[in-house]
Amino acid sequence: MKATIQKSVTKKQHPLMGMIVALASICGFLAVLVLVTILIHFVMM
Amino acid sequence: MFRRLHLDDWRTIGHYLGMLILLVALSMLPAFALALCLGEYTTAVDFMISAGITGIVGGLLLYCRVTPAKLDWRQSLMITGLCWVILSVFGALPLWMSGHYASYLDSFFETVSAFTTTGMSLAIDVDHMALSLTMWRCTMHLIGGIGVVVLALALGIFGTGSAAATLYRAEARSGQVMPEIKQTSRFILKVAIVIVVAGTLACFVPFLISGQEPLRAALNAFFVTASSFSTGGMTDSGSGIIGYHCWPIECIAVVLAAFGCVNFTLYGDLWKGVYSRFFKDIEIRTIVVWVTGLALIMAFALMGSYFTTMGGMVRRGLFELLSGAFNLGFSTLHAGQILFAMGSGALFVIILAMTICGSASSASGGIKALRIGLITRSLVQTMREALAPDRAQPRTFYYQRGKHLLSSELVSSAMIIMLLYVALYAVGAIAGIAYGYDALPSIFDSVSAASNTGLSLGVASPEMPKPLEVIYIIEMWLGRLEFIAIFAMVVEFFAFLIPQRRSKWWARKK
Repeated sequence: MKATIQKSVTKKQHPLMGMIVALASICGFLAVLVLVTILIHFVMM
Repeated sequence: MFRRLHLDDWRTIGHYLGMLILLVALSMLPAFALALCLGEYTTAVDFMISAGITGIVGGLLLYCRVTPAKLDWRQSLMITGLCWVILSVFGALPLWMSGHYASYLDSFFETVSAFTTTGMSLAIDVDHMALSLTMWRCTMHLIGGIGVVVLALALGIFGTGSAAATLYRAEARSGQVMPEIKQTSRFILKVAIVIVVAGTLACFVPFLISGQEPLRAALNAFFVTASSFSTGGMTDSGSGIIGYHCWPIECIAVVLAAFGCVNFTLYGDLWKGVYSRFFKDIEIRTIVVWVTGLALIMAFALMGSYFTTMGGMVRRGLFELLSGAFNLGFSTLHAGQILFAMGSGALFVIILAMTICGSASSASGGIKALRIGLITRSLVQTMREALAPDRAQPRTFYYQRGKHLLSSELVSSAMIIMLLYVALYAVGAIAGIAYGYDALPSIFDSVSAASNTGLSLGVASPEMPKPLEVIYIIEMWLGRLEFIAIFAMVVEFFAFLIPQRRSKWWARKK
């Protein structure tokens, strides 16, 4: 277990890219929620 | 059979608690410096006295154990359980001296609320509160969001080894990104610093554009970022985020709260470029399905309310839902508007959203998406077993930083914690009803306190009865530490107090 974690630690890291992926995923998810709400608004009105 | 803690154990516990108390004294220094810079001299004196008292007590406790002691798991559980209360006792001092709280208990409530990242406030006249005091409340949010013990581990206070691992788990944390707990804690601290800096810069621009002075804009940007990322909910405005009248800030706050709801160890995988682990994770998938489902129900529920315009549905309805689901605690509506204008259906959806909240090992509280995910997978397992032919033993897996077999022990543990949360929500609600509050606000505020969300329909106010205040404090504390550390602490404490029975052998010997 420890060796596996150690091995993965030695991999090349991409901190900025990782945070951008997280940001894009969260923003994408929130955008979908907004679109769903707007869609229901138009359907029900 | 419980083994009693001996005086030597208490000395070790006192020693490490002393270190944590010193950490709190040091963390008051930024707020103290800000008070001096802004000319808030009365508050600066309050901070100086509070930091002095805290530092002296912490320093004295350090002498409980002169030689370096090795922590065992029972001592670790005691330290974790006790530190969240003892730190709040000292953290409340500058708030109490400020005069913005009716009693010491109110300021203690505020501190517990800040450390547990709940965000409920009993402060009087927040709009005229010194900015350095808001800085202190937001600093406590950040310390609580990252985790008191995690922060201490990152700073090397508890060293490494099995005790560090026990402390880490006792604070409801799990998973490692690095081989050592200390390295993992340092990684969590690093992630938090990156997000807070980026969030402050992102919030600074809208505040500046909205006409605030650069210093005030920078401070407000930090307050909103610290509160949002740690899923707290305290700002320098009495009415919360609604007081800024700035929708970009509301959007950034929700994004930051979502960051705070993600398991911190997943950021380790993202930093390493292993993106698939993030998207396959059981917690992420559970949150996506749960929040999307609730958003759909919320949209339909709002059609019968006062918020039927597109703006009203998104900026009021969806924001309130996300604030509950991500444990944020900011509100774009006043308590009365939520209660009377949103409708009972929408209110029920917000309560549901607050019950579960984010991931394990994140800044959020509540039952946690992991447990709901595991229980759902166990339902799948039951269905597969029922439909499988004789002798076939279907196996169900879940994904969390790798594929794991779903075991009955894991499901039962998730069920027990979920039941304890439901019981906690119910106890607070019944107590509120017993004190004469309406059922809906009582349930809402109880769930909000126990899940460390911070939204309130008015029960949590400076006028609330003191016993109910104590119940809410216990709810916030239990909700944050997920019961086990507290239960272990209470059992150890009573086992220490109850006189040990002499055995018959001992009596004969005498």
